[in-house]
Amino acid sequence: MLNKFSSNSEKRVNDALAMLRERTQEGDLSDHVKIAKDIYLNADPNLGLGGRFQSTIGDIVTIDAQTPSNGYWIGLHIKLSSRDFGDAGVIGFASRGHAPEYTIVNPCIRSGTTDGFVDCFFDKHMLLHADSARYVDAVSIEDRDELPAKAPWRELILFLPTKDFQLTLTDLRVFVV
Amino acid sequence: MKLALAIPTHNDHAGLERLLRQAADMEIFEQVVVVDDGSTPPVEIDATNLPFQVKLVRHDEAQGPGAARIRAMSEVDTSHLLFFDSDDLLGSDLVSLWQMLQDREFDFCLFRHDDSRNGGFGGQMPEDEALWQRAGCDTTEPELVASSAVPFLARTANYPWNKIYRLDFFREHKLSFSDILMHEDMELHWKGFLNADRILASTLVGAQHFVVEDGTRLTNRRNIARLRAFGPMQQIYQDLRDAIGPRDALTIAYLRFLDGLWHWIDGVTDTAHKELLQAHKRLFLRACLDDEQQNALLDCDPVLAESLKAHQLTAPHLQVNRAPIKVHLSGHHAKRTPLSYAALAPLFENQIVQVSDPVAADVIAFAHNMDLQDANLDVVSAWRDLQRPVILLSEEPFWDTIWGARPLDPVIVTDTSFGALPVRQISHQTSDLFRFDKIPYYLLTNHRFARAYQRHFQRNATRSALEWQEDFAKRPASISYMFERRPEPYHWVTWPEGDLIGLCSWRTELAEACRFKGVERLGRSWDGRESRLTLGYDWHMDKLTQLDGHARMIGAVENTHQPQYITEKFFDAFACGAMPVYYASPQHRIHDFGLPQESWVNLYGLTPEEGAEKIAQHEWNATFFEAFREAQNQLYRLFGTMDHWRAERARWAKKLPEVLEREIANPDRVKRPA
Repeated sequence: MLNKFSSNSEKRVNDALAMLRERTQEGDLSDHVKIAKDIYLNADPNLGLGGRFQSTIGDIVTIDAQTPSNGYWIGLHIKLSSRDFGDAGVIGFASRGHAPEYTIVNPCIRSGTTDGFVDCFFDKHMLLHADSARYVDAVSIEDRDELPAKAPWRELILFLPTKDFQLTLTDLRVFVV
Repeated sequence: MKLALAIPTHNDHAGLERLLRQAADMEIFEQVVVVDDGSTPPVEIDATNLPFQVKLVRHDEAQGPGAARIRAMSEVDTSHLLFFDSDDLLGSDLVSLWQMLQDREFDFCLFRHDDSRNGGFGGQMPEDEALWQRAGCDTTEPELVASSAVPFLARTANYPWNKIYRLDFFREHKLSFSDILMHEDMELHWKGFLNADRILASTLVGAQHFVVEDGTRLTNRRNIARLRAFGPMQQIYQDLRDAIGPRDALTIAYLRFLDGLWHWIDGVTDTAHKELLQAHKRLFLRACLDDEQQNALLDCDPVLAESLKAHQLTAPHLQVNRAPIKVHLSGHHAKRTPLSYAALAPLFENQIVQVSDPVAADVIAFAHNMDLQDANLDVVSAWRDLQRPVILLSEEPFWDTIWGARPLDPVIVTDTSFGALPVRQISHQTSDLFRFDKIPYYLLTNHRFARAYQRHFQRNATRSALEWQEDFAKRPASISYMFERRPEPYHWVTWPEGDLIGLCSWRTELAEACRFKGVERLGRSWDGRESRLTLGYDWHMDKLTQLDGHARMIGAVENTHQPQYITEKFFDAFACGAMPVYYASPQHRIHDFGLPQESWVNLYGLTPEEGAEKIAQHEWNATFFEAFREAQNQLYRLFGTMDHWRAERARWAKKLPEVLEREIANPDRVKRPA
């Protein structure tokens, strides 16, 4: 099903994600961690985020996070190319992943503005659990005020739990159609 | 004979005008008495073109419908009287009815009505339809009601506007309404049935009754004013007791009526007034349920005796020092949970309360897999943001298997429009909630089963093996099947590790494979007759009446084989004096009843064709009839005593709150974003 989406307009980030699935890497987690070109993890410094991330062949990334303190956010940021949506009607993404415990991820599209940025959250949360779970959602561009047609920059952000967690994203593809 | 129409009205000018126009068109009323019960602005009537005398009287301050009707009675000058409410409509048959009543002698004539709660399909509420059926009143021509039918008709809703009264009947017996705000009609209703020498009944529809659910009508008020009805309740009981004694069917009928009314009042009384209500019930029962009355009840209706006794008990929440569990029931099938049935809901009263807002709930419950995907944003948010556990409290293995497809999993993940939702399944398969002791769950969902089985097995237990043998020889049918025809192969599903088998298509094939003489396949999907779900009256009574003493065998195969899942089918067959044809693995709980194996046929492990062959070859020998006699005796011992029913209900009263507490205390751990 994931292969059916036309994702040319986000070819660059989809290629970057695909490359992650074809290589092995690992590293420590901290407030700001680059995972690949255009893909990074950003966390509230108050959390004191620690732990490890790992990419293995067939998976995009496994994150094993420890949060000794309280904080407000951990986001997996994926830079998008679509600054001008043009005639496109929807933006969305499809993904697959799993986690040992029920883990909620809240995805959003962040668009840069002259004042900073605006977040457009998807209607559905992602629920990862022990069985591999598929997620597909899209937002209608013209129906959402928080999704300006033009923006100086955009990101898909997956907001992750701010407590200790472990999850694996095995696939993720962005589409604008 | 002259007829008056008495209309109490309060701030319903449009309704009154509509009713007067309707009454004018009918040309059967000599007089209309309108009691304006403190309306603002006051009611004014232009009687210029009305074909009857209009008498308008006013209470400057609203005194309630009871006082208004009493006033109307004193103002009427005709021989007969119909009370009516301005927010209802006169029925089109009223003209014909009044014509038929000319020169007839009667104290009052009861007629039928259409109730808006039936969704525009006409007819009375199912309980009333059933009572009319049982009373045997089925003619449009007004007929004298037999004394044996009076207790049934008396238990119909206590409306004043579905009867045409003879005015002198009121005067002769000093009959009136109670001067209270609610339930003011009970007194006239019951004392009317008690004192009338000649009651007529007609199936003509004389009224259209409109009820706005949760509206602002008096009947929707949930306040302490209702408790004032306990005074008249006790007075009516005393009058019945003094006049006809504790054993008379009308006295028993009244107590049965009160039992139902109290359950209903329980459901509409604010939590703050529950204790006061409980105290009123206790006082009533202490005063009225003396030994003589209790003995009479135990002889006539032991289920009712138990039910009334239960009203005396201190509500469970007063015995335990904990707040009630707040449950939000969601989805189209929310009426199909143990919390939803009128027969079971009182068990959990004040241990579990239902809340309409999922955010306010401790736990969110669905009844059917199909409803989960339609979970609304409030429900998903309550789980996602507030960690409210979501459960599937499923009573139907059929739903769990055919719709759910993962009946063995303790937790299923369901996609909703707002994201996936983990849902814990509380079902026959995954929970010990449905693990019954003596009485399977389904039989507890309606008191009709206890009543029917008590009577049928009491009768059946008196028969000898020889009598059964002679009786079977006269049966017109070999085997009756009464279930929905579902031939679709997708119904054949199995989970061997759960001893779980979908049997809808299997039993359909069985019924079709029986090609010998005297096979009956009953029900809409077989013979085009009305479905039990559309029957306005008691489908179970209808089934037992149809099948009692009719066939030698009854197909009792469940729609789903699950060891704990036993519905009425198996017991209905025995109750009707027929041998059940069933399908049960060695682990199935049906064996726990210990009935002689020769008394029923088990087709477990057979193909439908093999099953049909086994049925056809069954030998009606002395061994069978002796086993059958013994089974009937055992079933009477099981169902004839209220102890088993009471114990099973007590198990549920304890178990369901425990199960919910467990879910609340240990929701599936969820890692969530900030």
